Amino acid sequence: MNSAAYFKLVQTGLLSVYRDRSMLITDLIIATGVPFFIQFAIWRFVYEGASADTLPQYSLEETYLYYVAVLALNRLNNTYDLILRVSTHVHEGQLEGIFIKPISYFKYNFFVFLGESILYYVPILIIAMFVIFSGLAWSGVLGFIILSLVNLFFCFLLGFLMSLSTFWLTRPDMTLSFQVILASVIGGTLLPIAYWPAYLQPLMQYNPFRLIISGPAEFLLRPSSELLMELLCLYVVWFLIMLVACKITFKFASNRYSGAGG
Amino acid sequence: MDSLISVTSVNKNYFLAKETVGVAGWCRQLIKPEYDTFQALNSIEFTVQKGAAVGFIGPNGAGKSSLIKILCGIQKTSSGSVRVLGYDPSLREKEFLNQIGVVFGHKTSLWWDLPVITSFDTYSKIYNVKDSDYRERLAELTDALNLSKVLNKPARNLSLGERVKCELTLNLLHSPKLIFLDEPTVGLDVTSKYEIRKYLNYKRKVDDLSVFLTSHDLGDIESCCDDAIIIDKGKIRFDGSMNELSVNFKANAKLTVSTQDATQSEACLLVFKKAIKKFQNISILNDGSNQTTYLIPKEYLGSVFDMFQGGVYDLEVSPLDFESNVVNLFKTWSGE
Repeated sequence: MNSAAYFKLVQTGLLSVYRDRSMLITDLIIATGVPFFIQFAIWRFVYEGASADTLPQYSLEETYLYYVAVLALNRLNNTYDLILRVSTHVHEGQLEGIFIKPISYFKYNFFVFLGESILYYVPILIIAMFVIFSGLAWSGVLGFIILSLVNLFFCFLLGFLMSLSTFWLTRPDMTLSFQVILASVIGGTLLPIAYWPAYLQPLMQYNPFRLIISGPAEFLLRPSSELLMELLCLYVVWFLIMLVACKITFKFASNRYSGAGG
Repeated sequence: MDSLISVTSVNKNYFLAKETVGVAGWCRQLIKPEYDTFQALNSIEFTVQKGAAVGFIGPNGAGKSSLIKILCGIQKTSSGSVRVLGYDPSLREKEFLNQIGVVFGHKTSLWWDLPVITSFDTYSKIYNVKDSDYRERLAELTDALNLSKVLNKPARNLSLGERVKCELTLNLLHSPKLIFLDEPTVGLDVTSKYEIRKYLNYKRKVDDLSVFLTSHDLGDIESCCDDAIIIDKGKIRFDGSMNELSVNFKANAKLTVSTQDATQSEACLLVFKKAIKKFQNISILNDGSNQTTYLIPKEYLGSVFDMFQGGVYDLEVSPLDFESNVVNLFKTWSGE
């Protein structure tokens, strides 16, 4: 297959998101804006009560920036549509229509996913521009942009692996809820890692959801070579685990698949 | 002649989780699941030559779709060997997939919310079709299947007939050597059926396209196929040309018995029905209060006519249509 086919699949993914404008507006304005204003109100209240205007890790401004970044990353790295699509393909027999095309199911979904993510990458760029104009370290901005981009592939692997559960499940709801909760809680969308109890820190620090959500946000706030190395090592380890898991699970799943009726 | 499809001793078993009764059964099934085996295909053997058009006939659940899925690589066999265009379909090699097209009448490969042309454009790139070829084939297909007005409509807004014709277009844009059609005309109006049949016959003639077609509308098979395979309960019951099948069917005729006088209709017909019961191998095709239709071996016609009471009812003998013959076959086999 040629690059024109990949490009066309990306374009198709982008077009399908653009066509569903109501969802796009809901995602970008309501689903991102409302949580931010809630966080804004909570943290303003918390910091007003704090004695020295700072909590142990971040200043109030940094906390705001953290939440803007993680909410944008949470939406960018959202595999809800991917899981739902795979589930529909499996349960409605549409998988058969793709299995007989000369493209692997993995690549098909990956390029459509990339296309679907393009519009959600715009807020990342807007945040990056805002931070540059605010005079924060450019290395943090650059790392944030690149990590967010590279993480899309990792995010796809994570989502694809979760979506394969729909071969065994009757409905995708459990997987979808699981994905949303994990991204929100252990991904660091609800609370920065630094604010979790010490005994939970290893889980928060080394789980794959941190890589795609709070990792790039932390780097934006406090860029350092140590953090970059930590994130890259984590990326390589989880990437390999996810890739192998996806391949093995997909092999089992496709062997198990017996079609959705005649 | 080159063999296009070669199927040898193919069996396909499905494993279905056992139904559980009560909480204990449910827990047992959760911990140590047990499965029932269902044999969908049983020792299937046949070959299809290059350029052939084969109609695959069978009642619901006979194993038609399972076999099509095996032939195009969606499913694997439990045992046996399958070669299609010289490839093992289960490996789903790109070279193989580039040479086949598969239309499932009740499933779609089109992007549901996007204009149909977007799906065509995208799949033409996936199949690596040259732009000039793509434009030429698309123009030919849209013209032949009357699709020019629907190209910019989302798939979800299409009628069933338009959607199936778009599926067919999508699967012919890369000019496959072999096309599998799984009930392509299900739910379609006569015009759409006619357009599809006409175009398939045209492609066979012009491009030597091979066709493997399953349909419950035997008109599709009669119109498009030279050969037929009849399958029932996972076993092949007939494999030969449509002519051979017709010869088999010529042994029977359709006898229509109609009453002349409506006032004594039922009583007269009942007398006839009782009398005809003494003949074996006669089956009822249609049973109404004023008219009954029988499938009758031609050798019995003389004896039946001897029972005829002039002025009470009419007897009409006509050749049995293809569909009634096949229905009769399935009825016979289901009684075995």
